[in-house]
Amino acid sequence: MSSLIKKEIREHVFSRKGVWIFFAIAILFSGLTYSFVSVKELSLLAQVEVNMTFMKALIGISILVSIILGSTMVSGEREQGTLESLLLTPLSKVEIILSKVIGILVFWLIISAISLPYFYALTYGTNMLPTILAYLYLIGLPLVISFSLLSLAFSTWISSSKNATLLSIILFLVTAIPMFLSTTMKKSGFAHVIDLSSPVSASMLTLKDWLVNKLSFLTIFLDSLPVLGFLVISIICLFYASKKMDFLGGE
Amino acid sequence: MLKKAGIVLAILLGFVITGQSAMAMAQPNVEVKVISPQQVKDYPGKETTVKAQITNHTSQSIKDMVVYITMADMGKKWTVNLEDYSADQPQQVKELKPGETKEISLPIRFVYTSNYYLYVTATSAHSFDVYSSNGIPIEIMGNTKINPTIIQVVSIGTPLLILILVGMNFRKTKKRRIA
Amino acid sequence: MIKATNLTKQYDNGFVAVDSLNLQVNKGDIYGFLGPNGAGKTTTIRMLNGLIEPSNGSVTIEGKVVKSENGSVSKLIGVLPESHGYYNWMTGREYLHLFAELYGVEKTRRKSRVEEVLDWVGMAGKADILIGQYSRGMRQRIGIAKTIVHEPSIIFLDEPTLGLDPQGQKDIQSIITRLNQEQNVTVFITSHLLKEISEICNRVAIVKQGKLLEEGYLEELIDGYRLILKNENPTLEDIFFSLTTDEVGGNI
Repeated sequence: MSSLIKKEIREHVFSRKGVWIFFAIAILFSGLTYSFVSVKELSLLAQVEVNMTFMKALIGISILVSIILGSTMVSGEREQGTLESLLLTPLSKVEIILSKVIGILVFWLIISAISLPYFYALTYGTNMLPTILAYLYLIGLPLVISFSLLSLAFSTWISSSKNATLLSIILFLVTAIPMFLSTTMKKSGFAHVIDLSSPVSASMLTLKDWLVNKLSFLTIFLDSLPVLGFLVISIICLFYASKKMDFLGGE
Repeated sequence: MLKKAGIVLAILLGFVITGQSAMAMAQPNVEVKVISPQQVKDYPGKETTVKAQITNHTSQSIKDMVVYITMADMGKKWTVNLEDYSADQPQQVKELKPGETKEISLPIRFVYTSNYYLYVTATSAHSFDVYSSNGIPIEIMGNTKINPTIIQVVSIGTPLLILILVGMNFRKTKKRRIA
Repeated sequence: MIKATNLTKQYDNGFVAVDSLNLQVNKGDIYGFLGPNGAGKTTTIRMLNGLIEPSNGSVTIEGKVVKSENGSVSKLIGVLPESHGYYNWMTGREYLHLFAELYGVEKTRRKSRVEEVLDWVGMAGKADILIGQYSRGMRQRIGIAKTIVHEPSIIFLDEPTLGLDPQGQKDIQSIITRLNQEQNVTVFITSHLLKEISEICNRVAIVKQGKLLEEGYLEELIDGYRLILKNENPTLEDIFFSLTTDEVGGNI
């Protein structure tokens, strides 16, 4: 299995496509960070607000990149005709999927590593950095991985990479709807239901309660429950999807 | 004679009206008062709940009232977008009976550094009258310790470092292409 | 040895792709599996190597029952699927190392085995070029190398010469024959090229609409069809068309 993990990392992380994505992300981070000291309106923000804004951007970008990566992984192998050879090896389907999950994980860990100097600069002079990192790896990581697992499941169920990517992005946008709505709109109707159940909303609430309101561990844990629930659902979906990684007759 | 009497009557009436107006200023039909806080002097991110008291001094019930926060940025000389401060949701009072007083809680989170006046406003769907409390001073002080030099170094250095890695990757692939 | 008993594949929509197929491939055979398009050849191969679960019947390879995700059977067989894709960003050598490792070839043996198979398929000199830059023939050679890198006793080749020029076809045929003769590898091959099959196979099976129409040693088949076709020297092509052509119009 380690050879397949190495292949996934080489194909997606250290490939030309991978390093260009890292470069693009670094440019985005730089633009955002620089605007915190150069744009007057943003420079008036509290340091904690600055870090929250950067964290939101980091998680948003991470989810988008991970779901695009995940949704093309299995269907991509199918489309380029390499999946059959992988399935014929002694590896189980779960092991094949797990290798791909590890590939995405490594990809995300590098994105998070790129964000570290920016967080260092933005938390300079405060004691926020440990909290930021704890949030990033305890809440951000499960959230990003959950979306990746679901997009991998879509990629396994749906033969077309394009459709799997589209479905994954729709899922992300639906769960992220509350971020785009006003406080009033979130108080009622469909938006209210999504706001209550969305793991993205839950992660943002956790961030606020942890970083700004400095609430108790129990409150923070309760805030983050939808994120953990989403992770469990994603793992179950992917497990069942991996069993469906099949071929039809002369397909 | 009659003309003089008319002038005197008009002056007297004028006094009566002015007196009523003065009375109205002293005790409006609906009184809005901020109970707490009396002032805020803190850093951005401070969350607080503004408690206001609303009293109906008339002899009639007032129905369907909305009570909300308004804030003027005295530093920039403009009003603020309360959505940024998570304070755009008004509280509703279904009915305020004659002589009744109700307490209203309005949450707010101060985001930007500046000096503000915060006041609470109440109005009813059945009247054009608007009642506001006195303003309370809000001073949100800047506390950012972000060092622009570090930001510049990180913003330029990180992409540059990755660009070097891209270059190394390109050279490695090129070697294999011509192998 | 491959043994398929009553092998059947019926899809959810009721379509029967393979219908009660019985066949046996003996050790050392080069077994040609022929049929027109849609006859169920690829479905059969996928059931034989455990990629598709049969609706009915069973398959054993070297006495072991073939099922999905059966690692012990996977190591006994090598498969070159019909529309086989490659990791174009890898070199041929890296690709073979990957599959050698995936199939569990011992680390100490891996390097020498990869060099052996590269020699076998005549790709030793081109092994450090990216697969994306290979011609179709070179890709097919690397595909065969991948199929045998873990020293399987049986290999399945689904249309291995499809899309190759005559020289490419000859080269692949020669590799298959040498594998069979020198390494004693049993070969199960499908092809549309009947001439190719008759040149390299000792046994053939002809299927149509999922049903086995004829099966046996090539010489015996030809002998048997002399009388039926009223032809002193019937070719495999003659036998194939006599069995698979419909009365009105036919296809291959």
